[in-house]
Amino acid sequence: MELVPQLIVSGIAAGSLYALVAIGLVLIYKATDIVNFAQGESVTVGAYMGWLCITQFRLPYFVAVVLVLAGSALVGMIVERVAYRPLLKSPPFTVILATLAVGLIIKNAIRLVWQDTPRTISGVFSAEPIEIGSVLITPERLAIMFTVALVVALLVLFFRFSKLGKAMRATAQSQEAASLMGISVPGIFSKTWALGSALGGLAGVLIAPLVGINTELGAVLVPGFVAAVVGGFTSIPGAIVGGILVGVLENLGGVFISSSFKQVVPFVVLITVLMVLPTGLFGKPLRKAV
Amino acid sequence: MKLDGVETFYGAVKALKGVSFTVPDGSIVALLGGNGAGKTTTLRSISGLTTARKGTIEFNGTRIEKSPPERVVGLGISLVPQGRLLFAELTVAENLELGAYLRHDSAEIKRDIEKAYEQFPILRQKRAQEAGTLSGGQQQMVAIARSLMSRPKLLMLDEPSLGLAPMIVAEIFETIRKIRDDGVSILLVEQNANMALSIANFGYVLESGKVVMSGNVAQLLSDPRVQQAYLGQEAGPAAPQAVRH
Amino acid sequence: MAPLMVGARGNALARLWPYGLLLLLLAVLPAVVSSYALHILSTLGIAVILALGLNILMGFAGQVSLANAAFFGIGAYAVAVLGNGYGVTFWLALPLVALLTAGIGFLVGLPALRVSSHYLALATLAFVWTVQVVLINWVSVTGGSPGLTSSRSGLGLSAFRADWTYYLLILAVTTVMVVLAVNIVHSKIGRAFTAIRDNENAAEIMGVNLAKYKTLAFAINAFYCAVAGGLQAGLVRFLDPYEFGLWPSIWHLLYIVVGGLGSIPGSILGPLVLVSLPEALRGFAEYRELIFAVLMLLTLIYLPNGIAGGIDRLRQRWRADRATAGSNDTDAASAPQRQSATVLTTAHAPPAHGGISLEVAGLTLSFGGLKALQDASLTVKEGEIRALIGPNGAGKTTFLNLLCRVYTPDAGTMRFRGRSLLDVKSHDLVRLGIVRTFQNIRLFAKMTVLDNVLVGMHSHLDHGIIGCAWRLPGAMEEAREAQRKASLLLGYVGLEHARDMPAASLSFGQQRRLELARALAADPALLLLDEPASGLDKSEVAELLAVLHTIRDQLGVSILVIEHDMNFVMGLADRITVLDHGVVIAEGIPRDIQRDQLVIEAYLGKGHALVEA
Repeated sequence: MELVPQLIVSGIAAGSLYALVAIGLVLIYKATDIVNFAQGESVTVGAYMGWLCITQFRLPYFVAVVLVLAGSALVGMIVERVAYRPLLKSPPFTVILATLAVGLIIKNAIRLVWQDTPRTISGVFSAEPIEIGSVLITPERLAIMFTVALVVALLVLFFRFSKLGKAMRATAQSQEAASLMGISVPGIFSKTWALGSALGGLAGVLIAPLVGINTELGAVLVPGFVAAVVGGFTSIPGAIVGGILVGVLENLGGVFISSSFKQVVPFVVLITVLMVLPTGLFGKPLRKAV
Repeated sequence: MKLDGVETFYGAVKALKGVSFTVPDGSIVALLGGNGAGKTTTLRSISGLTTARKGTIEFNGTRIEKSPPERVVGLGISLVPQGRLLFAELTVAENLELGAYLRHDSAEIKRDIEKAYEQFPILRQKRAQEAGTLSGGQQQMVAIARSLMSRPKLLMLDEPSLGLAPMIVAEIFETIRKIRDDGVSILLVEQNANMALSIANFGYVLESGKVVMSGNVAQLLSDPRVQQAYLGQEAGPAAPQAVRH
Repeated sequence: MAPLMVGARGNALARLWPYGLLLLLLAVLPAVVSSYALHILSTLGIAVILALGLNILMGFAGQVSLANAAFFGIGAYAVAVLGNGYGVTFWLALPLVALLTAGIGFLVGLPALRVSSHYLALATLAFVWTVQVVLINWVSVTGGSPGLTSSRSGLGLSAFRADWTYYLLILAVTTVMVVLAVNIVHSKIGRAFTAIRDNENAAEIMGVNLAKYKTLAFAINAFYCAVAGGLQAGLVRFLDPYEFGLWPSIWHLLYIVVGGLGSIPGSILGPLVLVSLPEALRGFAEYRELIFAVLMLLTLIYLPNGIAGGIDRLRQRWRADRATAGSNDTDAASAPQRQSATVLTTAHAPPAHGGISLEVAGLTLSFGGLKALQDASLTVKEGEIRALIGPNGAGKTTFLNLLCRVYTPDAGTMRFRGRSLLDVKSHDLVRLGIVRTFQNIRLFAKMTVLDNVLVGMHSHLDHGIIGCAWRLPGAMEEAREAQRKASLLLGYVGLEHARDMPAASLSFGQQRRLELARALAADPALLLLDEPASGLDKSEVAELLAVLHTIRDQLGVSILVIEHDMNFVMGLADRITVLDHGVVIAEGIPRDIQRDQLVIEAYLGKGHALVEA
């Protein structure tokens, strides 16, 4: 039982990355009603960009992070323009398939350029665990948690105080009213995709030093989808709580049930939530409208 | 502003069948008619929310019938939509700020927000509250104030009295009159014909997508066809008594 | 592909011989092609079965699923383990596993009842992931990540050890699965699926039990995948757990997206292109997935109905060209003679409850703080036409939605012929004889005009999946009778010439008439009409007025109508009930309502000076 605090802390560390992916999903979904099944690939893109910056261009890690944010945002905008803008009036179903296709395209494009060879980058923080109280944690995990917390704080400020942030919130609530204010809704869509992809890319460059880089990296953060659902898919705090919850449950399940089935835990959580509480922990109940 | 032969479709339905009218500067024009006559569609076509398939819409010499809403707002036409469409989860103050989205004069924006609070003192009290938590009348005030934040030359209001208590309605209409006195032209869609005509300079009556009558207020008030537009032509012979509940 | 529909047997034979010939050709192929080509053809057969199953679920029933490869995997592993491990013969294992997998499919479909398509995609994603983790980690049974070896002799298929014999087996099974799929999609069940896809609310109003048919679609999907899986276990020597994950599922989606969603020929064309193309492009193997993903995206954007849809469009254009080039006989067809309503009979017994059709008392409903309806009461007599009017926001639509069980009232009673409606589900209303139409017409847009009317009869058709899939005589007789009646109804509303056109291609006025025909197909005793005249021009309104009077006079159907067009209401209704702010403010005959001071105030505002009684 003395393991429990340790499991919870490392669960939070993993969960903070899930949360980052989940926030990206939630932002895009709230603004555009699209669940981006290619969000995992934006994680992969971020990791490869980081690798390119650090090992090929010999840039410092921090510079790489900034470039990854910008590059991922650009990829997000391009993908929105090319793949999703033409499908604005298509049924949700078609758009889901389109995001899956985009995911495949990105994955295979990367594979074509850099093959399946795994890559690595080293972070700036040590992977040597330190002891805090009774809990062991590596400085690089701590740095990730700190970074995610910082990003969340910046996002909160952005949405609360900046003009663009307010326009994004407004558009998410009513596209029609937003356009009556003079807000260009397509412009907001494009910027939202940029932001969502940037968050995915950030998750990629953060996790890359820990697990290495390959074209399947996106799959590592699939529990981020579960986190978004647990949080109700429309709320940023929900995504954070969901992420941490999934990270912790996964760790506990891995130890107390079976380590080989650890990966199933998030999906059991997902199906349970969908069956019992389809609007998640933070979603608002909807009255079925006709 | 001037509309000429505007036709608008919803899918296969022709909602406007050639609507033409003008709104002179500095006046209140009322657009009357029963449900489904095309009043709301007319406002949506002007504001660019739905695109007219035929006809022209001209505002101060600029053709706007193909313009997207954000451009129409930029030209100085603002719509207070039916059902108000506030950003329910944003505060009252944020709603007002977004009304000024296209403006970049932040000092002036602050002054205009102050002005809005003077006009609707209750909104100053509620400025940090989420707009969705306000009463219907207060929400209508926010909607009007938000539209004014873009400093429009023409303000269009779609059923501002819908779902409000009579006292509040009177207050809202008083405000509309004041806005006109400040030099903003008004295009008012209203089911409550009496109320609308009480402040309007001029009125048009729509019936199934066409203008069927127009005139100044005195003419319209004395025309029995206005009532017909709402309640239909005389039905067959009367029974002794209608049942009251 | 011509539907294998009802019709004279000789006729069907004449239509089917090209398919027979094709089948024969496929059957003699082993004599001329290499064993590698045979392997590809066998793979193609399995892919066709997978695509059919997925298309029934997604293309026809409109339910998103990423779990296809999981069911495929369950089928393959279960048949392989039962055969190689426990000596259960393939002939027993395949049907057993297929049925069990169908049961699992039913369970996986359960979330579909509660969540939207995005969440459904996630739920099925979770399922495919879980299955893959189990396949990889349950080493003692599945062999874990290195995979599981399987052999045809181990499965008890020694007679099919030669590749060409196994190819023939796959060909036979694929043919059966194609025929079953065609039969299902052209039956009552297929129509119910498509109806759910095109418009859930309307499907429910027509008596389609959403829960039943959505889970049934998942079960059929799982059944098809498991059959494909069982065949796969015999085809390959080695089952690789990574062949049954998310990406293979997307691969299956690609089959039907490229072939054509909602099309049986598309389910064959898609795999044909996607299985044979890589063989043609073998030099570019590493670009394969990329090319296909781009192909999928381009198809979604530019050819949303796939190859089959594209072919259909070309065929239609060709037909249209020929029609304009030929004689101009379409005018005669578009001005059909309207048949008398006496051809119709209602299944519902004549009034039994003291001549009262609908009795609503004290109905109250609040949304948040807003009272949408307050103590509203209304009684409709048998054979009466009653209008419910009121200004915008008066609560008319809420009233209708309460009757149709979309909302549950806070207080009040609703009785139809003496039976309380409070415990009746939406999809059961039609069985009692209550049918509604919608203000914004909710037809099944992509279905034909005839099929729309047939969906209206859904609740009166009794045969189930077995009868439909195998075209048993009873089910066929029932289907023929339904078609006959549907044709009569179409004649009645003047749409017989358009019976094979998609509903979306009709003019607005025609769509209104079709919606009415669909409602009549359900043999209603009470019609609830939500703004039937909106969007119609003057002559169409006059026509509608006449039709509704005929329906009442000849069929004795009671009608409750919500309407804005006052000229129409005044000409139609026997009595009118007026709502304002959720309260009934007046009730009476049209002329009195027009002169009622409260009503005038509700519509035009207080103190209206121009009214002279």
